[in-house]
Amino acid sequence: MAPNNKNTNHSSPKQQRGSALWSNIFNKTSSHTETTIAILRRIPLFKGMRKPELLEFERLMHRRDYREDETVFFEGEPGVGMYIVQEGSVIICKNDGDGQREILAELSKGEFFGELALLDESPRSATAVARDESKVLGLFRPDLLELIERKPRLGNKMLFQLALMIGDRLKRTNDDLQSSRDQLEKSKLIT
Amino acid sequence: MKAPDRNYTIHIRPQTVRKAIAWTVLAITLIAFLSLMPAVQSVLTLVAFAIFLAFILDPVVSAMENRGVNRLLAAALVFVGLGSLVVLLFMVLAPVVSDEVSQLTKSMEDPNSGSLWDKLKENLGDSVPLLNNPTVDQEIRGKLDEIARRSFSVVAGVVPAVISFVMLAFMTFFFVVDARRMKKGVVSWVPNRYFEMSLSILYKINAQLGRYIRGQLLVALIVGTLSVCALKMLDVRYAFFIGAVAGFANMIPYFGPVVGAVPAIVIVFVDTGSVGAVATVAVAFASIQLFENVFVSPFIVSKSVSLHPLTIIVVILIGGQLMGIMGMLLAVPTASIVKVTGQELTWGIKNYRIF
Repeated sequence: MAPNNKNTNHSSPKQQRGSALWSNIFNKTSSHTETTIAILRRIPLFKGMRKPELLEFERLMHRRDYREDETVFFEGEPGVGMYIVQEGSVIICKNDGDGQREILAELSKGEFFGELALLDESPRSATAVARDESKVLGLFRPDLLELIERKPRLGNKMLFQLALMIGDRLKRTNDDLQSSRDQLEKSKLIT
Repeated sequence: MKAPDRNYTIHIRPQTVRKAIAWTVLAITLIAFLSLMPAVQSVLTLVAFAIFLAFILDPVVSAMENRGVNRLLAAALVFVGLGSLVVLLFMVLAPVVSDEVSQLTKSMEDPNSGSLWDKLKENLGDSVPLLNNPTVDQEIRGKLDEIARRSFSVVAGVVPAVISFVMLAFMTFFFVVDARRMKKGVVSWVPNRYFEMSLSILYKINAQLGRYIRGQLLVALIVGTLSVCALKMLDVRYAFFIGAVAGFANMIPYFGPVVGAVPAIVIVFVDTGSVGAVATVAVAFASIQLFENVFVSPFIVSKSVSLHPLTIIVVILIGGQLMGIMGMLLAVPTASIVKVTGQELTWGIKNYRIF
């Protein structure tokens, strides 16, 4: 898959020309920012955050465009951060030995993936591919670490939600494991 | 008998072709950059210094931001504070240093008795007869005159220096305020395939260089202060000037400490003619170096950007050839940038399966 060479900056031309300093002074929020804020509100990681706090995260996010069937990241590559689908859809898949891909999930607008990469640089456990033309928002570990240093209270809020989410996932995995074990033992008893 | 078939086929792997293309592009870019260097040298130096200063000021501005101050306001406050400090230091130290420089210049320029060179000849002439040789004498006088004239031209160039200073302050201010947006802007142009790798590399380089530059400056400040104190205690003339030179020169590895110590040793020898006094100053500088190497640098300067001594010598010589003293000062940080970039690129190419 060829890399997309398109400019991924979505701000209007007028905004692009204007200095960041002036936009900093007047601090206008564009309709684009409002859309992003609306998406962030629906994500559990940003649960309970006020608008200024969400704006802080919005400022850290990178917007990227992907063409149909273009890879967002490959399985096995070091993870740098998480992505949120803004438009279009993204599939999470694993390659089996025969070059076929097994689709694990399909994510649409407002859904996110790769969040564990916010914690460390360990290799991605699956590949993410844009199913159709998609726009995604990326939040990356170095930016999050910098935010934790700069605004620890806000950083902690987000990390707490991440911990809750991982804890919840762990509980569900344990339950699944337990039920699989029970089923296995039942089938053993039957045979 | 039929001759054996000698048709050979050479197989070149696509990776080899890609690597060859990458290296050629890199070489062409490097040559183009070096050939354009003289034309944009002064602008590049100014930008490099602004980035250098932004790295130093960033933690201060970020610390204020941590306490809830808007970044723009924090940067403005830091600049106003720093500006006031510079003006204050200029008012207090400038007369002392300028007096020391003018005295030093006069002593080099003055061909009558009492000049630096005559005193040196008087003290050393008997043991080194070569110094009394008329050709050597004329050559050295010529060189000293040239240095003195250069010092004057530095003083005469105050107006452009002030303009450069103002430009530098503006550039640094924008780099400090908008660094995050600038990085984001740069990364937004990177194709998707290389995006995560570029982001990761950029952040790592940024973190390592920030630590390195701030560390170097802190070490220079400590060495400069210790040198001034030692020279004042030993009652050496031009203590502030020599101490400041020693501090800055310390940023040039190997050559720096020698460059810092030589003026003090020469002045002490000219003034006293005593080998004992010279030895005391040399021991003072050696002790400062020892202290710096054992107690300061290992805890402050990042190990990850340490370069091989041979590489350091070569890059300092290249820097000196390209941009003089400024080039020597910037050589090691530049080489460190190249090294860290190279290291991170290699890591990225391996882990992100680029080729």
